[in-house]
Amino acid sequence: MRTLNDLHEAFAALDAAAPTELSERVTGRSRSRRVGRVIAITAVAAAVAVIAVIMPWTVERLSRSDAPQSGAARSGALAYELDGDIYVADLDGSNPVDISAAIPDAGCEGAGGYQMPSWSPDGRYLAFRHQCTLSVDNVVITDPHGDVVAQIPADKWGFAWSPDSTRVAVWETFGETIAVYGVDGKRQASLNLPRRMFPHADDGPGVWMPDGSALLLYGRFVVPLDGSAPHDLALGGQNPGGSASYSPDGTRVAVVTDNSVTVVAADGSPVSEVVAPLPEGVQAWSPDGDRLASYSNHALLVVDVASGAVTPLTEAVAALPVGSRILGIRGFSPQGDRILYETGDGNGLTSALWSIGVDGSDPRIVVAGTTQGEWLSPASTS
Amino acid sequence: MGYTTFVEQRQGPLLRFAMVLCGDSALAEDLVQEALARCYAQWERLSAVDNLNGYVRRMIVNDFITWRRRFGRLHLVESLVEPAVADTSDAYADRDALVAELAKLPPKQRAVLVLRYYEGLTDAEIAEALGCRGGTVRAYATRALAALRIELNLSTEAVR
Repeated sequence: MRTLNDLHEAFAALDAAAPTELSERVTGRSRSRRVGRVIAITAVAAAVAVIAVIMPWTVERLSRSDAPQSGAARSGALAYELDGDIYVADLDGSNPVDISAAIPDAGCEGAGGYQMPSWSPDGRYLAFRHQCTLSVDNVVITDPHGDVVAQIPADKWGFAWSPDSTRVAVWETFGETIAVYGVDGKRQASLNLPRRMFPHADDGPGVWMPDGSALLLYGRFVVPLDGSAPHDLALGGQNPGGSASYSPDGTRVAVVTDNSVTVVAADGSPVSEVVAPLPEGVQAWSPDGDRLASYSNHALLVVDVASGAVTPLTEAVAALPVGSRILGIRGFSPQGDRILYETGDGNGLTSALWSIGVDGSDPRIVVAGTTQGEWLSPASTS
Repeated sequence: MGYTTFVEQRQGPLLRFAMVLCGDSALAEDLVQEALARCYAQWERLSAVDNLNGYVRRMIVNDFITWRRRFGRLHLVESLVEPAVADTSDAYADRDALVAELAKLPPKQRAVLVLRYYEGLTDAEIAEALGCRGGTVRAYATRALAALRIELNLSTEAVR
């Protein structure tokens, strides 16, 4: 068994191998190329900053001049990322189509990649991140076939679809400003956050309140879109005192504290309480709002909202390869009969999306090689 | 403080931090370069930030985690091999093995260890830097230390 001293020595060894100045250690690339890259990055960043000052964010329309008229994807369609591409497949992972293959990879010289696909609630759009360098990053909105509708400039990581599928919230500046864009690519709002609302729970800029009037950050803070002051969530006039998660229809709220999960109506009146703690919080609601899903090291957990009873589905873990575990819940199927969950050993070598029946039956692999994906369902986790 | 002064004073420590974080000198340079380039573009605003060093460090951590999400699978073997060739003596063998195992940790677990045991941040500060809860930080640390088979000094951990 090692001690923390061994860890400190390992860090010291890495520390000693670190370059001392940016310009003195150029490995694998010419210095001129590196310097040119820094200049290019700085120039791009400066240009973006200037544009931000003199006009609202401009959004590049890549392939269409009007809002898309395409139809919605079929209910249950699976969108997932694999090796930097976005695929749409059937619910069980069959018949995959790479919808990102034909998207222009402008400015990335073939090194760009896509990740974190998320359906709009109505299924008419897919949104996903596009990244080709560490700092050039945005959110691409397409129709279900991959025809680009808009690109939205965005800072770190997550984004959130509005309930009516007409808007997307992104970080304009991570932790400081949230921007809301329409699917036409036009910025509709820029919302400044108080310091106390600095990100401490989620990657993304929160989720939308059911009526679409505000964003809910970290399950605790309400950020109105009309520009009024952000404030703590209040249910029935009371601060719920935990992290809140709304059911798909917005009528119920699960409030997670350290020791329990309390389900209340939107007006704050109690529905039920789960005494057993859910270490990973509420990860997903079933489409009908009757169940919650979460997980532990040993099982996928299904909670009956009415009774508060927790059913551990140990089969969800037992079916995995040795060394793999559940890393997150991606949502219920449209019929509410299966749950999609992400698994892996934590270093990306055995990543996979799995699904299992809500009664623990028929655990099966859906897609190997990724943890990013979701079904088009009222109960998706986006 | 001007941008040039900030870079002159902080690039060395930031490079060492990035190196410990990612275990790859070229990637460390990229991470620091990208962060400093973005600082330059926003310098008028950022120069007024109270803890600018922490802000830049957070940019580096976030970029590292994002980079690992996107490209980590492709570069894992390189990351594992490079640190292991530095020393050949028995005395350093276990240390190099530990360095190699660090490279295999998920990025957030590794970031927690670096921020906690290299940078000396509190769990609350780490939670702020990573965008997660304090309990999540402790969970990451526990999993990471267990994966590295590092025995905790409980009296030390208890005061955090």
